[in-house]
Amino acid sequence: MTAERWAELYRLEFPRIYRALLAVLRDRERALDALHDAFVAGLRHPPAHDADLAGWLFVVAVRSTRRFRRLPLLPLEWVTGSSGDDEIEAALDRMEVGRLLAGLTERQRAMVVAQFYLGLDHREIARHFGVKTGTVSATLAQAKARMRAEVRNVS
Amino acid sequence: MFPELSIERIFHREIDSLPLPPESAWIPNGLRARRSVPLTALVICATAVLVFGAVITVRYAGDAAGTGRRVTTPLVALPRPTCLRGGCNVYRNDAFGYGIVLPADWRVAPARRGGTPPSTELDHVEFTGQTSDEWTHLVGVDVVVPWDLVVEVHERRGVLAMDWSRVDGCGLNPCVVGETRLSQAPAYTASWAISPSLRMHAYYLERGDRMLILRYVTGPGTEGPHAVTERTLQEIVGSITLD
Repeated sequence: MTAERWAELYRLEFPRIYRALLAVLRDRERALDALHDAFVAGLRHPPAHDADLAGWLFVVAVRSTRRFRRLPLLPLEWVTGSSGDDEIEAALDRMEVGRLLAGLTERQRAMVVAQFYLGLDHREIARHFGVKTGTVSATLAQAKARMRAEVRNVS
Repeated sequence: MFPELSIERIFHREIDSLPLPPESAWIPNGLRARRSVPLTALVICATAVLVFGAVITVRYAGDAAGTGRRVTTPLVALPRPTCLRGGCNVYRNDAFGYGIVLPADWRVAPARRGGTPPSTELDHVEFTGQTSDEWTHLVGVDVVVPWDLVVEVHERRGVLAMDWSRVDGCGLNPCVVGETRLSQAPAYTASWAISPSLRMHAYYLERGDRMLILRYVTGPGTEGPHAVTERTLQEIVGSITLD
């Protein structure tokens, strides 16, 4: 895949993946940085199939945000003095989906968004995240149970 | 059971309403350009080194044939730009604009295995005085080998040296900070415990849109293998020259 073709496909998918990342990360800067990292990763090693592009971009971006966590580092927001993206947090908290996702771990959010927003099935999520299908099913079952509990609490 | 179809509709309706950044920010144009420059420079440097090495070898070989001297060709560790040992123990990194003087028995350690470098990292070179066997047994993922010296080059992304040191761990632990000059450039220094017996020492130099970091870990004890001390490491750090 040429760099031009990659940029073209990336642009087509950008709105969907960026919004999915916002729902997971709840921070515009982190979402944009993560997607930029995924773009660069794709320039170096593009995904094997165009059809997998959305899932590939999403998972590579989510993983890139975890690189910093693997090191014994402070979150960047501690450094800049910011406590996150208040505007996006508020927007998500006004949404039914945003409130449901807020009660989940970041990993659960990523898988829930991959399933319900990006339309990936359990097998595709497992392949992209590099885990077993059973792990995806268990993670999603836990996430759904939490969301159900949240719905019950609200009602 | 969750009504999944309606959930999908709600997800689309709500998440699709989240704002997008301006289209000009979608593709990291600058990032791509910045990353290609060091790569190009590296290729040019490597080519220059090969040509230079070939010329020198041919000349030495010609001289040796005339005088009967033994010929020693320069040791060039590619793809690193130049790393000459033996008679010359100066490591030059032309791609990232620095040179450093190493003790004669030091060498460039093999590239790290496993682990994912931080997304900002452009270059990472580890210098070691330990033998291959010693080093192989010590190294692990995301570990700085005690008594080795690491030189990293990162995209700075506007982060100041002091803030970078906090991200590295200085803020999480009691940290001794200070300022010094390396090759006449101001450097921010930080030192903090990373375990009860190990201590990280780091020097941060802001170089335009890049951050040059020299770091080493001391301990346990005051002396490492092959009589390397903190003084040895400080001298190596102090020998750095910046383009």
